[in-house]
Amino acid sequence: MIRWKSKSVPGLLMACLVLAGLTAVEAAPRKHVELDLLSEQTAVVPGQTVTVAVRERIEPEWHTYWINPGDSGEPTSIAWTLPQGFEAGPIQWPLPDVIPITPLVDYGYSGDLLLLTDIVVPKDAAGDNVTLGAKVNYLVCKDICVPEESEVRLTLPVAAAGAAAPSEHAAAIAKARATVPVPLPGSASYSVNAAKEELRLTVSADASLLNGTTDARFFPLGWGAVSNSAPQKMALDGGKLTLDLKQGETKETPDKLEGVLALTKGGERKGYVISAARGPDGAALGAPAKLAEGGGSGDGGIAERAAPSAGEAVVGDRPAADEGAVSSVALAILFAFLGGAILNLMPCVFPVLAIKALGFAKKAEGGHWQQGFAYLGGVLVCFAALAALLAVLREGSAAFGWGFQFQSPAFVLALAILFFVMGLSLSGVVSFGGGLMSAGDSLARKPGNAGYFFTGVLAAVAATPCTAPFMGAAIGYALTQPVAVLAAVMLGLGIGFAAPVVLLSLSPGLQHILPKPGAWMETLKQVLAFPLYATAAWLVWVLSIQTGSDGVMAAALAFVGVGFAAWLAGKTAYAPLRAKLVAPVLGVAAFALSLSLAETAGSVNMAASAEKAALSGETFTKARLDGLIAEGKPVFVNLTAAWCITCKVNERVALKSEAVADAFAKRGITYLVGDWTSRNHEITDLLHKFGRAGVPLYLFYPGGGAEPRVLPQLLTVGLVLDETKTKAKVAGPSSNKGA
Amino acid sequence: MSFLKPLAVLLASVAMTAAASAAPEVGKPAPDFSATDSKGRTVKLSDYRGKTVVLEWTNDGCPYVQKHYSTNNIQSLQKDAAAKGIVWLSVISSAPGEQGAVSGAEADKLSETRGAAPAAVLLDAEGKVGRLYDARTTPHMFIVNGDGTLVYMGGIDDKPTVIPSDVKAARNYVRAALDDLAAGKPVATPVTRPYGCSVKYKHS
Repeated sequence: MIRWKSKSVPGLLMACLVLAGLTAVEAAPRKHVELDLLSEQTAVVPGQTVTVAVRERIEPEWHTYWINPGDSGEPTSIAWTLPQGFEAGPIQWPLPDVIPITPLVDYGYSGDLLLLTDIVVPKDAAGDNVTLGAKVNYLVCKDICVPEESEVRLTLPVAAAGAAAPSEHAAAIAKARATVPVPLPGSASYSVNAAKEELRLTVSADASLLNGTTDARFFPLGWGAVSNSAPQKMALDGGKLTLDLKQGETKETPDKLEGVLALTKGGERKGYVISAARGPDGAALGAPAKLAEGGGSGDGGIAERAAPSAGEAVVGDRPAADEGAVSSVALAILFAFLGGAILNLMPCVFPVLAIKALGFAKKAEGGHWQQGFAYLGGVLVCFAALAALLAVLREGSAAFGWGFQFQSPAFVLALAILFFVMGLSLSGVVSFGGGLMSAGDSLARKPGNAGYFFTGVLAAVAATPCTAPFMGAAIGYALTQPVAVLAAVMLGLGIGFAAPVVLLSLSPGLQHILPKPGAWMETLKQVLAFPLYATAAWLVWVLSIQTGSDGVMAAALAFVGVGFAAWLAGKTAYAPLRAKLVAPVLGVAAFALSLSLAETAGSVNMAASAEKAALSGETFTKARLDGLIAEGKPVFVNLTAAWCITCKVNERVALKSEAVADAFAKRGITYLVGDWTSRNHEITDLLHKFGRAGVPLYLFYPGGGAEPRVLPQLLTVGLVLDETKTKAKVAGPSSNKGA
Repeated sequence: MSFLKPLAVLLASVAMTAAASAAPEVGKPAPDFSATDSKGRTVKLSDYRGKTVVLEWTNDGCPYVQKHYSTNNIQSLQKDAAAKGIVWLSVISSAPGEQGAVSGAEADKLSETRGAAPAAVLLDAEGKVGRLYDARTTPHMFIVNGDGTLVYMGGIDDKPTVIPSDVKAARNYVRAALDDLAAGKPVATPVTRPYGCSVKYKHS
């Protein structure tokens, strides 16, 4: 016999005594795991390595833990007692199982577990026999957790090479070895969507490895960076697999996300060790919360005890870019380029372009390319500065919740005033940046390449008043992207913007295809003022929903004040400096006063509308929803929040209409309102269930056990009436558990 | 007016982004709750505005909890806290029939026999407070400052074992955090790994 029965050592007397004291005296604690020590070979050979296994035979329904235990628990640890010169490697952890303990998720093992360890036998190992000893500490849990400790020993003969044969456990150990994750034959990287607290793990490998994968699961090696309990959404595309993870509580984004990827194929799971480098967008994150020492990824406390040995080989070291992300980014840059080129048609820019084209044409053919590129440089400096400003704004605002700024009535009003003023500017009532432009103009008149550089700067600056709203979409997209993408998009815009001049500098003949500058530009500019006024009007409407009539009054007064200040500015344009200052001061005062009015009106209205919402629907609880579903009754669920503008608009437009109220009453639909203004776990769960990170979410359970329907995020009365058509037959308790 | 749509989308997406996170976060307002304590009183977190509040998830059957009670570690933390006007709330989120689930009288008896001195023991059999805080283990510790901001969440110390002798050698994060707060400093280590038994929540 090669293995010795484990020698029991009563563990944790203290804990048992306390337990015994509190509850009735229990029988002597019986171990939930039987342990022994096995060897792959019948003998040890000096100078060679022998694989041994601590075997845990775990009682049914109980489990022990992986190196990262997940949300709770503690991994098995082994302290070796070996003869002089012998050295034990780390535990070779088999692929763990996911152990859900709603709402937590642990990682561990059940049934029979072999923890393999390689032991190096020294060249000078002497004597006939050696005894290997292991003190094993582990936590074993079912509903409750019990820490246990056992000591196991194994004595093996020392033999010459060739005399060691496979032992009776060799097959079991080989089988166990096959369950130890191997380095992924491919590469892995991850990217961060900081706003949604999501991580996307991208694995590139040969299609033959990934094809047919029905399930994938990432087991992080460390704690804190990845949520254990959140579902992991898999997508498979040829040689690429993506897995969407939720960030853990540290919100940390380590340089490398290390762990094990389990792929299920044809009912078989296989583990791959991966070390996913942070992709280019990882830089988008703000400073992570400080961590305890050894508390981050690659958790020191656990890693000290053992590291996954088979997984030492680090794969995917280089930042392998996410191909899918790259293509969508490339598309965005292409659009930015086209958009930038179109900006040249704006009246603020086109004259500059025309003059430069003329300049090229006057001189000899060719030879202008340096000037063209100087112009490009000037434009790019401006767009790079804008990108930097946006990045700073976004980083700064993310720290205190950008979203809440947007929901602030003052912010909406400020935006409305901005559009109004830009409209006034296009209408010719007021002009901005005159001084700036003339300064730029004198610089632009400088001879040679410097002149072209500053012409580029001037063109970009001058373009701002009439291009800003048209760049809104690009900026909006860029703001949701990592800094690198944001910069790429802005520079794409810049290159597109400079492209015509660069082209003209290379081939001055092209200028013939340009239309002649003229009165049409002024007309175009004036016409373009009206979309801006319309935007301002729309924003006032948004404001009216947030604040009611008081906010609208504040906005109207602000417009009057700003209009007056603009008019005064024109009147005093040639007055002494002191008189000149009156207009901007007045304008700013009107602006500030109206913002504070809007904010006050907003807070009053929020309180009122919150009350109203509570009256018009029943408060959502999971129990109530489950109850109604079980009764087979139709239910309409509205998950909303006071600060969610879309939600408020939908409620105003559709849900609070009489037609909908009548229909709900007639069709016997219960209207449940879940207010997510403050955190609510049940609402969060329901959102997650439907793959949503936030409100609004509209669900209609037709009743009778039918599957719920998810309504679009923008509602109309007609749409709600159509979607909630139901036979509304009361059925028996359904098997559909709903939420 | 093609640019209205991008704007609306931008506004809406920003509104949703703000709503993305649900778990409690250090530096953000701690979720308010209302719970019944062992004496039948209603305890609201917001009632303690102006005071530091420590939340301790506990389960007397859990060996990790036992480690900290058998070594008098928690009791001495509780007593020091009480002396400094800090409110210590022990929370039991074990569902009825699960390990650690106790009646109010049993909870009080437990405090007496262990020499524990929490300001109150909250009986959270439905797991509402536990899920609100995403409490995972026993012990799992949270500290809320006087402004109602969550300033610490995680383990009680840095030795995730059941070995009583580890308590002395461990770095006690809760004591360190309370010391930082008393000194008017930000908590140096605000997020750590909680360790212990899983909270025995009601199965849903």
